[in-house]
Amino acid sequence: MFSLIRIELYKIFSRIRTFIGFIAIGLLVPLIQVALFIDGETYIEFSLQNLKEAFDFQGNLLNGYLACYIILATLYVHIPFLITLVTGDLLAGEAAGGTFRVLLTRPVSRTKLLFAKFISGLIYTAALIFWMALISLLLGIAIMGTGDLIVIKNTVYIFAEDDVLWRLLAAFGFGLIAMWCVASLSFMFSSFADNSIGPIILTMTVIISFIVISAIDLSLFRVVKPFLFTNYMGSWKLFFETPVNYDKILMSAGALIAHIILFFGIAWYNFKKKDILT
Amino acid sequence: MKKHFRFSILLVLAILTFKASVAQEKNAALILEGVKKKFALVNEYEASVKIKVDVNFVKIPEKSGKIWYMQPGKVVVKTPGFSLLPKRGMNFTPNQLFSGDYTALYAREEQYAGVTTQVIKVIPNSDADDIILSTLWIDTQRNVIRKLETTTKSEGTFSMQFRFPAEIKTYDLPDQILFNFDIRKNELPLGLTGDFENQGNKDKTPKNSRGTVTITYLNYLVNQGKAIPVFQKKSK
Amino acid sequence: MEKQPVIEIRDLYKSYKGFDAVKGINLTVYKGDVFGFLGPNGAGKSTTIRMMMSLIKPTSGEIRIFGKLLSEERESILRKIGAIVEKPDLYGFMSAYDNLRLLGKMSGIQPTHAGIMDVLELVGLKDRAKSKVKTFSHGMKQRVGLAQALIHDPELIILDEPTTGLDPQGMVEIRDLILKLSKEYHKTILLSSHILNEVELVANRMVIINKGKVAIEGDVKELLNRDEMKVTIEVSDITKGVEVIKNRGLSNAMRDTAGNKIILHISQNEMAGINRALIEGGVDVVSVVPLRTLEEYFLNLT
Repeated sequence: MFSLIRIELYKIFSRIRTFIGFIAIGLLVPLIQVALFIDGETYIEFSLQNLKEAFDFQGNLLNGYLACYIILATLYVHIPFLITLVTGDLLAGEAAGGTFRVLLTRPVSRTKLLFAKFISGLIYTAALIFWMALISLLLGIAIMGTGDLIVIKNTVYIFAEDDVLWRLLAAFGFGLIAMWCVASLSFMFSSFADNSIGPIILTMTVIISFIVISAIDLSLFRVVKPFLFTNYMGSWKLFFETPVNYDKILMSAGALIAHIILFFGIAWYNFKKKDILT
Repeated sequence: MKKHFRFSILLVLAILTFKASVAQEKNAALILEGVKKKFALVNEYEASVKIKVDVNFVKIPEKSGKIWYMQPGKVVVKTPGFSLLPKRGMNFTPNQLFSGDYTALYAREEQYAGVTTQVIKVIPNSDADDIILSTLWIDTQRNVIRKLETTTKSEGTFSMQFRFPAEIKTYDLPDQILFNFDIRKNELPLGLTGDFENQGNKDKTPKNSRGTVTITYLNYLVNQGKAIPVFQKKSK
Repeated sequence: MEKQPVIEIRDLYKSYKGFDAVKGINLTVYKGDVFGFLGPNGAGKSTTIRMMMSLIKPTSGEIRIFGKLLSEERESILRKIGAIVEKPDLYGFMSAYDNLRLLGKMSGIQPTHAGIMDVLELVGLKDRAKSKVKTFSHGMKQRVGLAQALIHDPELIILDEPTTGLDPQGMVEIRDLILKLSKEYHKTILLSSHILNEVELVANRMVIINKGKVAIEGDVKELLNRDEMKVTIEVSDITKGVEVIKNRGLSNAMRDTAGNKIILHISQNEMAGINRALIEGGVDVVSVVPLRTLEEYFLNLT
């Protein structure tokens, strides 16, 4: 099994498309950081207008932690695309390239192979998120230093400097589960497709539609909202509250994991009986 | 005769009333003067502070830091990270409050926080002043203000409650000040750290509410020159 | 010595959404065979091969390879099979060497450097070992495809149209390689093709399938050398020629539509006599083109 996973990872990391995600994050994140470094102060002022009426501010809120939080919040919709680029191709790419004919005629059970591919996809996702966390934090801190983190929701939260890092790391951890869910969705679509464009587009369509439905506050949409997995993807933000609502976070993580299992299960059921015609 | 008697009573009453009011005015001015004099002893100080903000839609941990004060009303506060300081009153000194043209009226004697205080109303004479009315609860025993309530045109009312250590020192500075003020909750611009998911949730916090900031002072170092370099640096 | 069956296919059916691609195929390939699997395009060859390789599931029927049921012992069977199924698509973004290394591992062996280079040498790609497969020509892809089928030293090699798209030189090379694998390495080979000639040159046994069914099965030499054959004779004087032949009692002689050729069905040993009779009868024989019935039959299928 390990050898199969290693083979799949070797295949993933032999391809240019795999590095698109790493390059995109490697460019996008510093860009956001530099922009914030230059202009972030104005944004914070703007966001805190009404507090300014009652309070004098002492100290600096523009720091690497804030940049990291903002990056997490803004890249929420973009990272799935970078992930799907690879995970949506895991099965469909073999179908499109005709390589299933050499791959599935090896003495390896389809279930094992599928699992190896799935695990490899999860590892790729983790690597991408780790990369994002690494440059978001390290570069952000290098440019802007550390400091207290302000998070503006219905409540304005200000977290002491020494109370931030674990929250950000936990948020990345939760984000990873959310992105694994995205990866699983695209993997499922990938098992049905014979070209990799289909699963990529389909995954993004599902995610964007679900997010739109969640955002529109109509009674019909409110009813379906709990059934949309995207609804649980944003729960990393719950780490930026006091006290942290661990029950809600665990519930969201549970919902996402349930979806991961469901998506993999469907992919497995489909792949096991699939006739390879390409 | 009856009429005359009546008149003289009224006259006496009038005189008495007039005398009383003059006495009160004097009284108020005197009391304030005592406070001013007492405070004027403090030229500068450095102290450690703990700042606790209590506003229903703001969550910020208690901050520890340092405060430096210098006459006539310069204040610098430094805390690690970020802190919210009450906009009004952080640089409050009696001198400053009564620097302008004002009318002080003695109102009454009142028990406040277990001490007998003299209540004095201070009304600025200028219409341009933002302050409409200030009420002070003054502890004439120690010549310190125990409580201050101010109504302003633009920012509603705010109050400051001063807590003093039991032991009376030469420089009688509070060990805690409680600021209480109006705060309006505007729709917070979602801006950068916007929370898209919760946008639909109805905001349950009232639009207008009170906020308090508690500042605890520790380890005053008064007139030891500690604050001077801070302000020298600042003016540079 | 009893011949040992390697592939046994019984009543194999496959239908896709109402279309019957394979309709009850039976065949047996014995150890050491170079087995020709013939049929026109669309006859069901690839579908059958895909079922043998477990790429698709039969609708019904039974496939036994090395005496084991494929549906039950897929992995242990596939370990001993190397195959090219249709186009030899490998991972274009990897080198030929890496493709062989990974696919070898997946076939359950630990490919050594020497082992990989040997296979590449066998297919004539040693000097391109480190080139990415996507840069290869069709012929080279065909050869690296063959290499991946051989990397784990399988007992049974299934080659689905291995010469498609190759130039005549390439076809000869592949043919020689098949013969080498059979004679020197004693592999059992199933070779599918739509060209009878190709199979005839290398196979000892064969089956012709058409429209999803077996049309003919047997020994290649026997099948091709059945006595009846169709001969086209071009002569100087067609009328005289027909007369001479009819005088020999061959009433089925007829003129070609073009006019100067005689077409007749004879048994092989009669040809020499006819030739002599024509010459003796004063008819010049310009050419004699024999067409074996199987060949004619097959041509009619394709």
